[in-house]
Amino acid sequence: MRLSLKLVGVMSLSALALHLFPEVAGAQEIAGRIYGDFPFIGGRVAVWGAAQIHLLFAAFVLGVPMFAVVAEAVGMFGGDQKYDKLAKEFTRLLLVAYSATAIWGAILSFLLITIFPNLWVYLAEIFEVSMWIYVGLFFFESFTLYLYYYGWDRWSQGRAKLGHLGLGLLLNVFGTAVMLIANSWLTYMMSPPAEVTSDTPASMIDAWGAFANATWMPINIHRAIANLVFGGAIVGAYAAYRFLMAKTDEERAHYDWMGYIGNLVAIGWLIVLPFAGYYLGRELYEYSPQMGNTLMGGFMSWLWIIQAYLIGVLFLAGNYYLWVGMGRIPGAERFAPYTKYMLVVLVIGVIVWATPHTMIANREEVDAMGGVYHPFLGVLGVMSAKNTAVNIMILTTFLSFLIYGRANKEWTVPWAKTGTWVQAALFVVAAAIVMFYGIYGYFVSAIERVDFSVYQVVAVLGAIFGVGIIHLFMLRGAKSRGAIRWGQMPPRSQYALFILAVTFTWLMGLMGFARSGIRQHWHVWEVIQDTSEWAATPALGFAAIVISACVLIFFVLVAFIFWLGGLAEKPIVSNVGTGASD
Amino acid sequence: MSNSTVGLLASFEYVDSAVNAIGELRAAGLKKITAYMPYPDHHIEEALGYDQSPVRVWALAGGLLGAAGGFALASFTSMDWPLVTGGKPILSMPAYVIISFEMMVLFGALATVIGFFVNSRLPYVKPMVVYDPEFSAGKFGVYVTVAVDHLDRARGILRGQDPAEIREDPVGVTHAPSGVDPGSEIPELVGVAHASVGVAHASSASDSKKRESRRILVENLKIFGVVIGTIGTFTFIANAIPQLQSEVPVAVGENVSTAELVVLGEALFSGGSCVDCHGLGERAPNLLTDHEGAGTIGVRCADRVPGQDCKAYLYSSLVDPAAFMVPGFAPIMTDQRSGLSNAQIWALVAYLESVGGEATVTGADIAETGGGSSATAGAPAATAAGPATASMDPLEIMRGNLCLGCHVFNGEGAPLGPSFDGIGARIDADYIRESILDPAAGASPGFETSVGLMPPIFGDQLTAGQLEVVVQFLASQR
Amino acid sequence: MGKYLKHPLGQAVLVFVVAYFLLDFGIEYIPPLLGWASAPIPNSVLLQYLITVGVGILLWVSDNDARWAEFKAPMHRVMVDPGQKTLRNSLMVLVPVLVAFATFNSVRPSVSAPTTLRAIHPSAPGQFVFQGATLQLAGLENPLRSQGSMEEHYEEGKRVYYENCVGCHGDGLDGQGHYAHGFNPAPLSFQDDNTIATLVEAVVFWRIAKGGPGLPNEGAPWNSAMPAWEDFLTQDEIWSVIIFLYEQTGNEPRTFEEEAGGGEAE
Repeated sequence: MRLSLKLVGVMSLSALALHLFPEVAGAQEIAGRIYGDFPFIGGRVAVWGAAQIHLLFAAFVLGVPMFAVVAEAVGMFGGDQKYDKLAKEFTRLLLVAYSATAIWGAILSFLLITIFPNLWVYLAEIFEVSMWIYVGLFFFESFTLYLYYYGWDRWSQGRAKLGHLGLGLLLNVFGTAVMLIANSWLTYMMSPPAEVTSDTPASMIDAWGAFANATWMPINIHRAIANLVFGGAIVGAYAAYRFLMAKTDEERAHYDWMGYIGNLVAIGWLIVLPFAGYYLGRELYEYSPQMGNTLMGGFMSWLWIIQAYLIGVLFLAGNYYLWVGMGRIPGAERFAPYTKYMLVVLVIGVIVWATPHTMIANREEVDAMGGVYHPFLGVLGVMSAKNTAVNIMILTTFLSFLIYGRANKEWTVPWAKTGTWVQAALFVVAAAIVMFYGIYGYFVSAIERVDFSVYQVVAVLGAIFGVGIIHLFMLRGAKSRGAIRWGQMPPRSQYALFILAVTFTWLMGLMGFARSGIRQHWHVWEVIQDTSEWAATPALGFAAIVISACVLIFFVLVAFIFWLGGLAEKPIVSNVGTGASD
Repeated sequence: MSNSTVGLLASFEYVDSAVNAIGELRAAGLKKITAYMPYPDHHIEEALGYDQSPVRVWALAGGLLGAAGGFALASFTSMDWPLVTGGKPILSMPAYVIISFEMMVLFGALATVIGFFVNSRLPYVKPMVVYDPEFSAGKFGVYVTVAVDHLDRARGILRGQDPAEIREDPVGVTHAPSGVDPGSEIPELVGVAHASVGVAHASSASDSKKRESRRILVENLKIFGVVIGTIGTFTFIANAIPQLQSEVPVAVGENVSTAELVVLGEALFSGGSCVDCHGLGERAPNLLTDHEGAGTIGVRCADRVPGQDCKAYLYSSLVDPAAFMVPGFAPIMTDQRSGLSNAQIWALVAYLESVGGEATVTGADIAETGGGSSATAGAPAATAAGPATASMDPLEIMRGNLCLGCHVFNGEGAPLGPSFDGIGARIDADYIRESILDPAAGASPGFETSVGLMPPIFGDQLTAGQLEVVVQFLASQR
Repeated sequence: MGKYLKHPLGQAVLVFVVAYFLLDFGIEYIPPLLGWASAPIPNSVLLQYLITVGVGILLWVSDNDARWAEFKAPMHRVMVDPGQKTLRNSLMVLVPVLVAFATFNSVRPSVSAPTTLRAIHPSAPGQFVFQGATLQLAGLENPLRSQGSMEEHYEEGKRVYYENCVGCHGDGLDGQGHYAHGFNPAPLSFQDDNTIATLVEAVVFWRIAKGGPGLPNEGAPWNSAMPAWEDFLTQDEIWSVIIFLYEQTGNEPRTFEEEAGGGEAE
């Protein structure tokens, strides 16, 4: 009796204990917080900065291998060794920047985990497989990169060289795959599949549908091209720096040439970038008219005016560099009188592109205009005019490249004169088509007008392609009027390359803000709302300050990293001597 | 041409000899001269080809900077703390002149001193190699560095001026400090020092290295300037345009927490028009401070109406303000549902409860009274326009339509608009009618700043008969 | 005179001055000569344009070493030439005074309202509440277009418009109503091909129903005086007035399917 009473007592006590202290019975439930914080700058700015700097480095390490491999191939199949040496120099820059990219990626990951743990858990559940593949790909990419660089001199002949080139191609494949995976996560946040709602648990979301969402492919295309542009710009700035610091004429010649190549890659691919961006905008608008409207017509609309000025700076600086560079090309004097007309066209293009539809006007000015839109200039404030302007600017820039390319050539093919006339006709026809559709667009409905942009793009790309083909054929057997005097560039041109690189970087930051900002107060658009204290989307001024800080940090780090890379450098032997004719 | 150089030091008793020697040496193209003088003498400076002192540039720059800084300091502090004193404008330039003047003098003086030290390259720590104490005692020294080829020529010139002594120094002696030859065309700010201390020029060996490192430094600074300038331009432009921020719309659903409602309510209260009346405590009781010893609104609300708890009282004050009037105040508050959504009303209730008490509003209250979509951008509830009372008695009409909320009549009402006492003597019936139907048409004397305050709703709110009754009644008040 | 015009500095100044006159006065007065409407150019836009022209001029004078040296020469002479002392000194006085004057003008408090930047195109929400019922914006079609006669809807819409909207939006649907000049922002003109022509009917319905108070938070304060017509009109009345607006102005509403497009206006 006493025993059973004791037993009952013990059992009831333990039952009581279990009731009062449930954690004794089972494991403790970890109730995670939804948001963390970061000292001084706040969590949102911390993640923003880490993401932006990581992206800047990543763009560099993804863009450079693309044109490094091309340079190596040109060196191999064209026979000119200096391209091979240039490719190796590019790869050396790439190597030292690679670890910085990984470091910032790790910083970003840890900041996300500590500051936005809830969102991280949600995304990790949907994308777990892709995240494993992502991290695994880093192994392959790293090893390929090391093999590619350190095996350069060892595998420099015959079949081994082909294998080495193959390594370079593989490096690009891995790099692109890495970018594709990372792009899927952030585009999912922007454009989750329509069937995903705020009640859908993460485990029920189709991983592939989330991966290949509406804006994934447009971002892939836009970023792939932008990486090339950015890589070229940074390489150009590096070359400009080395040029200005150079002590010997040989060094100057080498870096002048390298800067030209960087500028060529950057501006050359910049020509196609607006089309990729416009395509992204269209896909965004199709996915969600509301988001598209926020982007273009809503509170972010003035961002595009700033962007217009930035791209105006890019076009002007790129063309300026070419025109100043013509001073060192014998035979270019005959083209010098025409550059001012091209400059006029470019300036008018920038003016048209940067004309806002919603003007900053005080009350008296609004009254004088009779409304918020200017009756005459308002016409320039809409996409039809801006598409026209940018297409004309693209044609003008391509013309600068063409003139630069043929400046010191003397054609020997019998049909040279006809060829030139055909090229001129292609330019004129393309410009006419662009202007026609630009003006006609005002008289048709919105749907038709949007399609006109496609015709304009096709006309411009067609002209570029046609003129380029003719140029390549005319080059056969062409005689030189004199070698390019590499190294004889005034310092102004190098400053132009710096401005180019800084502006590209700043533009990338601005576009990053645009892409993230249109999500406004959503972590995942219309699925997971941002309920943190930083949910409001900041105004342009604040964003500009954060972007500038990121750009400054990036350039300081890049300068340091390149300096590190140069510590083991051998002295420059003249790669670009006489006979260089590009 | 041989690279080796030789130094010749000549000591003169008379200043004229030194001046002539220097002049002849320079005429012969031998310009690397250092002169030592026991006292400052402008003849020797002229002979050496010195320009005006560059320190004056420092003085000017410092002065200008100081003046601008003084103006800026005073102006921006005035803008940050705008106080109207004596009716003067916020930016009162005459007062700033004094500050600017003092700053100009201060910075100018400091800059001059700094410039003097910089240009003289003081403190000078390296020992002067070619120096003789007799140069401080009364002799004038001329030290010239020449290439070996020109040695005889230099010696001849010096001898021609009858020196007390000539010495030949070993090859490669470094003059200190290094800098620009005083005979060069463009006077460099950093290169030229005052002759009484010791002229600077360098020998060719260390020259190019220093020039090189200087060039590298200048080049780096230029690049840095270009980068910072570009980034700065973009940041400036983005900040110069008017800023637009996208706020988060607060959807007030069933799950809204009381705390969130309090925050919302506070934003509405302080950002809206509530404080126009509830701010000064004249038109309406001040809610955030103590009123007649009863505490803030969160404390007072529970005891106002027996049987009504705080929440219900506050809610009814917002939607039916005339139901309970605090003694001493007129019934001028309107049903706030005309301008605020249901959720916003409850947010205000929550906030006011929290001022001194505890907020108890929940999402259920909102849902009960009609739901709510957005508490920050809500659609106002429809209020049917129509007569507030069916009476034909002019006083009842005036009370029912809250005319006495702004006008005084016979001791009743509030003096926000023109008084009705004796109004018929001032204006005629037609004017009275127009004032009721179209109040913003004109201003009454003394109430010019209140144009637009009277709502133009009474044309809809009164029936035609009621309007006539009121007009005739007021016109008869003499 | 010809000597100055041949000099790069002279040419640069001439181009800049010509550009200024073209932009400031040309834009205002030349289009009306050709039959197009125009208005004075806002100062912010003029500044934008002039800076662009200035940069262009700078690029032109500096892309050629010889021209650049020639361009800089007079300015260098003013700085260092002893003969130019008077000019140099007067510039030294004048430039700070001008800068001070410009700074003072820009920071001086004035009585005009601060310039605000409004996002002209408010983003429609995914759904909104109309007279108690929740409506989804995506796919919301004008029901009157598929029932009844368009003539009747047009007449009904005309009636609704002239009873409610004409005071602000004007007799000619051009935003020139009686009260229009008193509002900032001004009532929109429906004749303009950037207003209702770029919107789907669902968005127009949202705007009419929710009015000024229903505008989203971004880009606030809107200060829009438009009433929320859901309090005064029925759903059919609003749809019919939409039909009237489109028919009367000859604009076509945007359609949902082919809304692919990177935004129309900024």
